[in-house]
Amino acid sequence: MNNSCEQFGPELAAYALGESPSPELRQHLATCADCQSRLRGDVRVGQALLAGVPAVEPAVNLRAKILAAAERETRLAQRPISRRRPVWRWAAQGAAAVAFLALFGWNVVLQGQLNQQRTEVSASRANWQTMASLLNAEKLVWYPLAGQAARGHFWTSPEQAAACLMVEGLPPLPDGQVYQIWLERGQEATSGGILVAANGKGWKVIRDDNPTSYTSIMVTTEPAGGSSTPTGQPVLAGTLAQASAPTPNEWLRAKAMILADF
Amino acid sequence: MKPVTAASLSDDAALVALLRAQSIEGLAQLYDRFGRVVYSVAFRVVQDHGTAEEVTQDVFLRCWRSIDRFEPGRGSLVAWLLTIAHRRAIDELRSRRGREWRQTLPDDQLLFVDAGCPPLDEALIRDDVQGALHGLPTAQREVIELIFWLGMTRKEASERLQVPIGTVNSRLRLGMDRLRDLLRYIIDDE
Repeated sequence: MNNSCEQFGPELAAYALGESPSPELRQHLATCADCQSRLRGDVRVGQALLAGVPAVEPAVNLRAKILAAAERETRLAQRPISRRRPVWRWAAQGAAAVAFLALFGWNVVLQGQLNQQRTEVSASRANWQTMASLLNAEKLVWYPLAGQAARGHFWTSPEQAAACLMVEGLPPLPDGQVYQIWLERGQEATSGGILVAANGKGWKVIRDDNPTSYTSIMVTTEPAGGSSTPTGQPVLAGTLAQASAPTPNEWLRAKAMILADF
Repeated sequence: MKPVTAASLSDDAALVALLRAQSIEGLAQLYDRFGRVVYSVAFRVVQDHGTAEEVTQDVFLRCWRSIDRFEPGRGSLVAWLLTIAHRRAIDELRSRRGREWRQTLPDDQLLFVDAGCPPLDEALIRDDVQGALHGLPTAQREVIELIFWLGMTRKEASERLQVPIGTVNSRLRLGMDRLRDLLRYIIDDE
């Protein structure tokens, strides 16, 4: 152990107790067996403090709550895409008894609707899966956003080509207006699409190969159909400079909102 | 100290196999084995039963969903759970107190004990750990508790205690070395 090791002594302890290490400490640890060993000892002290914490009994119903939440998740993950198809088919067969030509024409229309429905359900399912995957991502990055009345969160992961925006507290839209998302990289703003909101709440999956490169995000009101550049007042905005981690409450709230819409 | 036994290690392995199959029964067993200690860690940090419940639920659901990220070679199941519980509880505490996030590590970089270390049985070591903590000089224990249980940075601890950061550093280092000595028979296999 040398002077440099002594200099890192307190930081090693802080690292073991939860602080993120500085780049200098990481670099030093990569080559210093003494400090690696000292860190392992400090980590074990921290682990002993956790295991030796004074015991507190949780509420008796906590176990049931946790299992019920897990069962809900399992059911949602196993939910079939659509159960309507047999009804449509039965209706189509009934129509066939009346007139083959009518059936043919009707079937064409139905098939189109079914395809559209399947596409929508499939897209919704894919979005939900993307959302769930992002919320569980190892390297989840999470940014708070705020407006005059609205607030929200934007989250993504460097490992995934997608991000998600969730907003609450949006004011009612005037007729002929929509909410539009804008993603900025430096001075360049690109549309992230229309944000559909109900009761002031909305969320949207944004697919992009490099979602962590955005520098800021905002939501504006725009004429129906959207605009090519932002023209309305922002109702929500935030810079994406300082990522944080969601609190358990925020994480559960985000998931609940997505599940409620699915 | 409870010895490491083949049975205790195979208990972990069987439970992990159940969890990897996303079995609700596996989650129930995980909670039955570690629910109380996870809750105790959460409560020790947030000091509120409702919040401790939320943190506990979050930890168990996350670990159940993400069991593939648990690497038995890096440590025991309880060490993994408690490390995540501690981190989540600290995040919650800092958020509720309106403090900036203390930069924390992603789950795959969290530090927990090596597989070679004996499993830490909370029931058996609680008295020893509490005894060791109270065997520290108050100034050293204070610094460790502010950083570990209140999630403070060393700078925040120096502001809270109104002492220079160098003093915090030396109290922290001395306190950790002293704890390691006092708990050596439990935690040290080197």
